[in-house]
Amino acid sequence: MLELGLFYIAATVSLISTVLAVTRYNAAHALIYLIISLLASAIIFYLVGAPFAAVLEVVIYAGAIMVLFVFVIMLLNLGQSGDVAEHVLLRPGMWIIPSLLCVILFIEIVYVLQSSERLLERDGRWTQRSRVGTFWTLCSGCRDRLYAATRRSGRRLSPGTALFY
Amino acid sequence: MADYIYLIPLLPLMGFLLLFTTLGNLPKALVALVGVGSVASSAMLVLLTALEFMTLREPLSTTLYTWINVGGFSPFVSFYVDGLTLTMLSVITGVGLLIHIYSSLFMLDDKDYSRFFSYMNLFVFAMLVLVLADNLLLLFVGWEGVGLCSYLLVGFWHEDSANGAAARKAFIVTRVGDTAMAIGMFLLFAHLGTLDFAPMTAAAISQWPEGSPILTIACLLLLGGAVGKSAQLPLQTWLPDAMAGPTPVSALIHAATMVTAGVYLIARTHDLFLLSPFALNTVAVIGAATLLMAAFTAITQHDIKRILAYSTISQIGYMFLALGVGAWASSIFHLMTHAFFKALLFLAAGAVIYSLHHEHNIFKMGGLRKKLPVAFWSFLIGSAALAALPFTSGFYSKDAILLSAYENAWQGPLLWGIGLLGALLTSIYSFRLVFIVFFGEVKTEPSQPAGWLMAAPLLVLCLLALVGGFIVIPVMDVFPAATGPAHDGLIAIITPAVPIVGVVIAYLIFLSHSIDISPWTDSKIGKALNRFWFSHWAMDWLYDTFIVKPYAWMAHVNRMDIVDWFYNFTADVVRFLHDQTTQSQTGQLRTYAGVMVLGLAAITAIALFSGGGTAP
Amino acid sequence: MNEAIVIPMEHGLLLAGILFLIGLLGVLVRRNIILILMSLEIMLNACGLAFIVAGAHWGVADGQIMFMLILSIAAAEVSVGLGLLLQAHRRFGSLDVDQASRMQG
Repeated sequence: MLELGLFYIAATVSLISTVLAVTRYNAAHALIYLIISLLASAIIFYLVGAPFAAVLEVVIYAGAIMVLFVFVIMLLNLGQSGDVAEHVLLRPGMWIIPSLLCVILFIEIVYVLQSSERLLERDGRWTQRSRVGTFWTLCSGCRDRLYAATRRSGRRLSPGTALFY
Repeated sequence: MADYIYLIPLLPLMGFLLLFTTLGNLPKALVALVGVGSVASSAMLVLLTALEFMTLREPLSTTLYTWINVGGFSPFVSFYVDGLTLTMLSVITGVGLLIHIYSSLFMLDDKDYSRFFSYMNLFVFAMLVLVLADNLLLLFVGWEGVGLCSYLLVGFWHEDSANGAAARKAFIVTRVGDTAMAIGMFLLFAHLGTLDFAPMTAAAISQWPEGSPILTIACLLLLGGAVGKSAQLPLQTWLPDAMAGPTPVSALIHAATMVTAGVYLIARTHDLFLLSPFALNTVAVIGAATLLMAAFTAITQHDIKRILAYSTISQIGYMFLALGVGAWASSIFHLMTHAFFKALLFLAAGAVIYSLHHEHNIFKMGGLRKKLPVAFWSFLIGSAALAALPFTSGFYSKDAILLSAYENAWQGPLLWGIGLLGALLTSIYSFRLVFIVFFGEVKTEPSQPAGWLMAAPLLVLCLLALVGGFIVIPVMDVFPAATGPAHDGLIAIITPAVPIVGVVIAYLIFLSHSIDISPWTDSKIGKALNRFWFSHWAMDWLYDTFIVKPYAWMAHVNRMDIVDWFYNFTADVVRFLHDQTTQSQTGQLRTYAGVMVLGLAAITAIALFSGGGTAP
Repeated sequence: MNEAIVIPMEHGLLLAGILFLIGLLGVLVRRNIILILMSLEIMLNACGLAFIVAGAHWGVADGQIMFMLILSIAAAEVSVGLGLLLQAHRRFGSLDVDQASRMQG
């Protein structure tokens, strides 16, 4: 159960630091929070049994890519003026509509995860074969409708399309 | 062994392509070499074909490729040479070659020398396709091709807008006939299922009884095309205006070859016309009416080229008359001799015009007999042949036509009488021209007599106009054997005598002035009649009043075009929607991203909540 | 891999989804180009997380392969994006993405 505990801790750290990263006025601060978030992700990778991916996450993401950001921030050399400008750019009212959109998407994600068992049953044959679960469930919904439409219209499948089915 | 036939039209086509694509960048000598050489090579090949035809004594044919293959309709691009085609080929390439040689000097000072020869070569190509085609559709291609070249060459000096107007008139008036012809072709194809001449004829004979209405309609529609192209009543008004083109063009296109395409068309489809006596009689009536009207008009004209143009209309009227009375061979024979002497007359007129600084009015010419001997003798021989004086080429052909007309079962003597009156008028107006232009006192001093390049074709054509009557054209296998005209004693004497009378009358009036016609012409009726005939029986006025003006009025009324309105409305709707949708193009990256997210949410929702179908 | 089963996949995916949405929110809200690029990185990382979690759940390597693909895409994208950022800053004198709105209807 230790792993489970560590997972939830890492997940919490990751969420908090990501939220902070997105909301900072100072780009350098945001970057630091982002690196923390990435390190937390690396821990999760390790916990779910992907140690190599965890190493890559630290070395390449938190290491190489973030260093690029650091370089650019240094090159621009905005200093205090950058913070001031950012206050002009980021006004509280701008959060409303994007947040609404994201909430909608969040509800959809929760719905998918909750009803994944039912959805899996619905497309059981396909999930057994490809074993990619929920993602496939989403896709196969579209695919079935496409396929039915094609069948109705009586057109023959092109090789490429047949492969897709 | 007919596999070189395709070269006959191909060579002029290549000449056209070469001259047209170099856009006048070649030196004039090379242009002339290409222009004349391509036609000369074609003429050689025609000669070769003729020799082969004479030895084999059967039609040659060659299929190049299947042009279209759709729904049981598969016209081939294939050429067919029988006696009729061979006669036409010889006229086109032979006379065409002489005219090309003549033009190489006549047009030398023109800045568009190369363009002229490219159009001429294109014309020869189209005309050859027309006569070589073994189906109506391919014939129609050549038919339209010569129409195009006629348009291009009439409007050759397009800087003068009057020439452009003449070219448009020629094009549009013939288009009326062509439309009729196209409808006739559709009709024939719809009922017979083919447009190849031999199967089409066979199908028509087996399918339709004599005088069947559909066949008559189809024949009349084909006749409409022929009438337009050959400048017969009622579509003849374009030809006199077409004289705006260079004189060699008038000689080649508007005298020798293109305008006789209508005659060729009817001769080629004569089996259809034989099944429809009404159509055949219509041909004869049109021919007779046209020849008389044009002859009266020609007497009153004073532009040298317009006189010749009306005489061309009149002579083609004779050919139609011959077709209408079933004298097919005589018609084609007259076509050939007419090509000789009319080309000769036009080229000689061109030489006169050339020497007189583009003077067209015959009353400003005079006494040119000594100054321009070659032109004079050419004109004299040409006029003699045109008037059908005995032993010239025109005599043999016109005589045969008139005698056949007399023999015709339907209104024979009447047609003969009209033809005879026409012949009298023909000799009067042709010798009026000769006497006024070449005799009497000198009114305009000629300069720069034509060089030998212009004289040589004239001499050859003189020879042909004189002895062309002895050529036997090989068309007896093509047409049904005609009962040779029975030489009724009196008729056979009157017919050749009439032209001589005409010459005498012309002499008395215009040269010796021993008959004074001024009391007649100055009288009220005489003046009115003169005006009436001069305007070609007011045909242009009729068309202007009853077609052009109403049409222009309708166009004026409908200038806020209802069709335009519809399309403008569509465009306005599109523009309105465009204006609305451009509002969404804010240029704001974040807006775009937001809309994308909205779309993503919507698509996911649709995929989740619309319920899955069953997997196959 | 027995211990990996302990962590429920749904929770891992939920975490990935939330991270993705936070990144998306950042892209939509922020006007600073640097922050937009960072938010894009967050989104890409969330995708990678989803792949890893799913791959671990079924015990296949596909998830990690996809993660490496995403990693390389992120690296490439960020280098190009930062280059553009520098040019944009030089041209507009600001990092405001709304300044670059000349391509409108």
